[in-house]
Amino acid sequence: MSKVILITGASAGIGREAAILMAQKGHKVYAGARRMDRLAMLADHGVIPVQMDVTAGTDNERAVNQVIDTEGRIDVLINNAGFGVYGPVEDVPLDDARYQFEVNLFGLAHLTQLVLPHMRAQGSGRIVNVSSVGGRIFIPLGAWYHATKHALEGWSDCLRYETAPFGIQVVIIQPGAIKTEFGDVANVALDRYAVDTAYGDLVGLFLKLRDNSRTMDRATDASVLAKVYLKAATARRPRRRYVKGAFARPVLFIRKWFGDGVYEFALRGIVR
Amino acid sequence: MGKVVLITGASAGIGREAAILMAKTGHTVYAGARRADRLAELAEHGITPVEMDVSEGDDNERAVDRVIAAEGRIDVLINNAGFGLNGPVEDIPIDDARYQFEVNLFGLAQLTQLVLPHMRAQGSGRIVNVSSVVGRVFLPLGAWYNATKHALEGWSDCLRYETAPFGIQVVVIQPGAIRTEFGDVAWTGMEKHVDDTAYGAVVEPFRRLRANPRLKGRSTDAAVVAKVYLMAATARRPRRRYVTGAFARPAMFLRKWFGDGVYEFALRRVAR
Repeated sequence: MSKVILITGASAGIGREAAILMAQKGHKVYAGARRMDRLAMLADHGVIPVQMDVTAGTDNERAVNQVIDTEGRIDVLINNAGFGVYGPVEDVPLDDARYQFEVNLFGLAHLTQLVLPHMRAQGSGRIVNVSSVGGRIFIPLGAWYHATKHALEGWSDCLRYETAPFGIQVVIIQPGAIKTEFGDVANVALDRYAVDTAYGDLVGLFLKLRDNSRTMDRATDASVLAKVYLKAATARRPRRRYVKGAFARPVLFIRKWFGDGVYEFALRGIVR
Repeated sequence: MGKVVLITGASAGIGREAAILMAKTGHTVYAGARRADRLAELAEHGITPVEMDVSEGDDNERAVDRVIAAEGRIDVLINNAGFGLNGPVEDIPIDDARYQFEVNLFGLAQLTQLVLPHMRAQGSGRIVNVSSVVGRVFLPLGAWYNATKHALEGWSDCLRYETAPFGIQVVVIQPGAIRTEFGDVAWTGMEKHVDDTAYGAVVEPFRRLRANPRLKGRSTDAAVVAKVYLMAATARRPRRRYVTGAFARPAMFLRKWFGDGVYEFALRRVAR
């Protein structure tokens, strides 16, 4: 059966691929993002563009109202918008860290609050939260990014428990390394913060790793993840968590079964 | 060797016990908290009270300046201040959630930023972050509290990696159920938001559970956890994580070995 879906962060990367794929499969897709010029192109695929910034409360309200006014219901909210602030803890201004949380957590929490009353009234609904393998493990210099994704994991578990009695399911997706703009955005941040830093050695190692094209070649295509989004959004009995993409399963495995020490040792082996 | 220690949230609970214990064992303890009247009493134990609110940037600067001015160094920062905001996600205003993050994460991040340059200059130092067992597992109705503690876990791992080359260690403590004011604060905070809630059926079992004296009887004494703080702050080779207190190990064990599904099932059995 065709579902009414609102997905954020749909102007690029996995969000864009997922929006197109879901529209192709016959779902009614409202695709939100800030960059209207890039969203407009999605209309060719039968996707309805919604200009919105998840950090702007009124944008979120307008987006949900638009879906409800037009469709009379909302079946799936895919909280996909997000980005990564990278830099040493000592160097990243706290206001930038707060903004990281506005985009990656508080924005989607607000959207969730807005759709829940409709989903409760329907007696069904699904909230798909795009976390990251970084919601379980960490990569050095990503303190604030990992803080938001770890937070989203615990928050989503609580939300799932609360909303289950209303027939509302909460699904977490944990992508690994994916070929998107994510890394570029994170690198811009790193370059900005790590100018006059005491952490130059560590930053240097990461820049070297970044410029190693072999790392990025091994990243997974966004279209592969889009299929996981589709499954998470529409499977009759979704799993609580979907892990997908390069490096995701191995790093989760190492951390879980070999512990913090081995995980950190392995990282120091790679980043040197 | 006596260490210079700054501990936040020291007016009550584990923070207070730990401050007293550390002063007794010969360390120079600066104990921060908002409630000056309750701090004053600590002076009898040889502790220096510091009136501060970790969500106030100026307070944090003054506190660190004061320690440095008086002692010329700072060996250990124990980020202990924190509180729990309970309540269904749909009912808790996002601004309250933001404040929860100000106290439980951004405040300690600023303190960390302030002590790091001194610790780097010393070539040694330790940051002890008090997380919780819910930094790893979740407890229903605690979405925002769980989010802050999950966030702190990932954030601390990154910080540890960054600061290790400077001889600065980062330790995480994960207390379980401890006899403190924590529960009262979390529930009082929730009650004002759930008058008109749709989540009565989720809240009620936990209200009953909380009133059950047998459960309270099984909580761990704050004095027991204070000893773990001392170990985390002063052990020559500290562990990355210390788990302590009632229910902490079983909950983490269950989640790790049996997975999300069994963990959630067990919770629903307990809370019904």
